[in-house]
Amino acid sequence: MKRWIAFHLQAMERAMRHLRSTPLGSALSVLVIAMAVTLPLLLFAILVSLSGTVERLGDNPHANVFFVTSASTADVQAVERMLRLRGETRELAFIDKDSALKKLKASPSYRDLLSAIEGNPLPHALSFRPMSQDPQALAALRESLLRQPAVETVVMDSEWSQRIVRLIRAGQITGVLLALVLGMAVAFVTGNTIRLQILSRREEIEVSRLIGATQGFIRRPFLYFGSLQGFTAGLLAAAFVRLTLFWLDQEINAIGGLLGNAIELSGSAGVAELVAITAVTFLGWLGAWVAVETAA
Amino acid sequence: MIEFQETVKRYPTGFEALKGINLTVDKGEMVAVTGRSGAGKSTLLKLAAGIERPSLGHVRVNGQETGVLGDGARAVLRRNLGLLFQDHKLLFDRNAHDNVALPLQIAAVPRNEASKRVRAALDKVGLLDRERAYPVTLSGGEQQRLCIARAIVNRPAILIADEPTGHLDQEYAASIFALLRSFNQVGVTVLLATHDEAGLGALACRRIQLEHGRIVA
Repeated sequence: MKRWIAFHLQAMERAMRHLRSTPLGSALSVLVIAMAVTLPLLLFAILVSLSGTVERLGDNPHANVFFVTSASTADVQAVERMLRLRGETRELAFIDKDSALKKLKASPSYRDLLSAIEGNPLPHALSFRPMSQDPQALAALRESLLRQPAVETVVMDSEWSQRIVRLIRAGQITGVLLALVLGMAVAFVTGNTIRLQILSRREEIEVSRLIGATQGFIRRPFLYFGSLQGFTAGLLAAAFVRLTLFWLDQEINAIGGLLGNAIELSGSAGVAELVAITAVTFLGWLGAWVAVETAA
Repeated sequence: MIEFQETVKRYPTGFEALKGINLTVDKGEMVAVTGRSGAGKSTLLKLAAGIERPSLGHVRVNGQETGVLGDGARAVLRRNLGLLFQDHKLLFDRNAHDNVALPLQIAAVPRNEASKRVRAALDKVGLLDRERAYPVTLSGGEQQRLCIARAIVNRPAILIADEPTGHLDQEYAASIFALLRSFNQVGVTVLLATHDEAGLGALACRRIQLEHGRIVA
């Protein structure tokens, strides 16, 4: 056991020595691998955050009924009565167009725009949460609302949250494909680096073999080197992702605000980072193993 | 200790380097295999060192049949032998100390213990003062002595030397043979190949002559 540990410690030490002996080449390889890992990891982290937000939206979807601008308060109250009678809604609220305009004017972003428009361009609106999340029930509710002459349009959160979910799924598939392709690139880059090392150390390998080195002894430092390179690149990629998420946090939070939900980016990459670091370490090992088996 | 029994070595090209060799090297013996270039001396030594496998017949080293050993087991067998090569096979990017330390690294000998043994081996071949010198700064004779230090650092019971004086002048060659003899005198079995019969001079050892893959004398 002691001997086995000694072999591994020695191999690790030799791998570190090779890493130190070619600092620029090693740093460039690590950087290339880290960049290859950053892209899918970042995509994954953003998608995880977005899907969490959309899931929260899906738990508590909201609907808005917008009336034609000529609709009177009585028209709105008629629709409101109809909805209460159907018993399919909760938190039903009337949003008067005058108070909506006042609220909008209070916002600095819209003040200038609204001052240029005469009169009130906003319609009356009703806001509620549907009791059922069943798509068919929601469609029936929408149909019955749209049959009312005073109703212009009905917007339901669930519809566009479903669209976002589809987009996220597409993004996830893209992310997986990207991770596969870039994973192969990681193995290739590591393999190539190790292959060059093997070529430059062919003499040492030959002499070592002649005086009693086993294939394991020859192979081990390269495997450690590949794993170490992958691990370092994984850590660097995680750092890149953290930094990027930190920068993106404000912008993404603004989108979250529009959705009525907070999106927390900074905490979303934790598990993905661990998985990525492990995967890149393994890919580094794999690339090294293939290189050693074919070239040494 | 080393036994060849009806040993034939045929290379993939069809060339038969050894044709039915029968030879036994006993423990503590010193045997010099002589013959012209291409006589089969190096092949004989490679078989004894487990670097090559026999095509037919048997080769036994310390009772182990090298022909049936796997790659790993043959590597372990080589660890217990001291090997000297005609072209030295030194690593030019490592100093004398680190070259000699290589077999100990392979055997996972702890660093402190390894360092002591390396210095002792360098001392035995008279190169202790060149411990930090790189092989390129050593003369041909010093390089060969460095090889001997590397070969003995593992305290092997068998020393196998292929043309150890191949590139050396007579004076240096005599000193290398004398060095090998001194190891033999303390019980190390030595099997060496040389075409330099004159260089062997009065060296007291059994001599085997090979010609076209056969023992002729």
